[in-house]
Amino acid sequence: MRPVGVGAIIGAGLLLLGGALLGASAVTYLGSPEPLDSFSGSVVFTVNGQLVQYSPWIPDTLAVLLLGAGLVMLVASLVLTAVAWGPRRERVY
Amino acid sequence: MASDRSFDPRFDPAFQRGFDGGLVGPAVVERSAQVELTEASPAPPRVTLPLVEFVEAPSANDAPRTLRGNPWIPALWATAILLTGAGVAAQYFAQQIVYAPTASSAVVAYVFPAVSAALSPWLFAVGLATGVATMVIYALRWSPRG
Repeated sequence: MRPVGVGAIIGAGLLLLGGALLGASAVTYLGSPEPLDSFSGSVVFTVNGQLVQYSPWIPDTLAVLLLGAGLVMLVASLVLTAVAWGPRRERVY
Repeated sequence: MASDRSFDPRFDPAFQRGFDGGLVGPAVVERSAQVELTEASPAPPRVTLPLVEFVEAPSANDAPRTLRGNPWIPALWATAILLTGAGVAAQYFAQQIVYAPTASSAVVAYVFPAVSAALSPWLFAVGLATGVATMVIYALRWSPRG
């Protein structure tokens, strides 16, 4: 396999890993609401008929880093593919 | 006069300075084959030399000098525009949602703005870098003849 293809696969893997980590972190956050507190200043939501509150969420730093690195790898693979591209030549024996 | 000039024997004298369409100068003919040119002697035979002696075959690893027909260049431009626009839009909508008076759910109120704000710098920077890389490719492949 060409190095460009390997880079694209690594980039896609990093994107998937980062997205999975970010999704798992968001699911964990949404599954653990805080009890109502009149002095917290947070917005009150209705979840399954119950009033709940959430503190502001900060995304996982590692997940964001993996997403960014995957994006960089994919775009770099695209750039290298464009540089190495050549018209198809007829093979002459 | 072309007869007292010397032609480069590697190339056709017709394409060299001083050739007047007539006889080929003495440098074209081998020294041992030179004869005295007199009024009665016929014109020496014109020596025909190959125009191209050696042409290097193009290697399969040589990248072409032109970008014409390269399908990845439009893809690069599209990627650059999309990523840059997505970065700007993510930052804009994240701020709009954060300062919105009401939100329907915690996903809209907290998760989406946080993810958008975190990914916006990456999207914007990678989009700009893609555009710069595409312009660098154009600059490297540029030639005066187009």
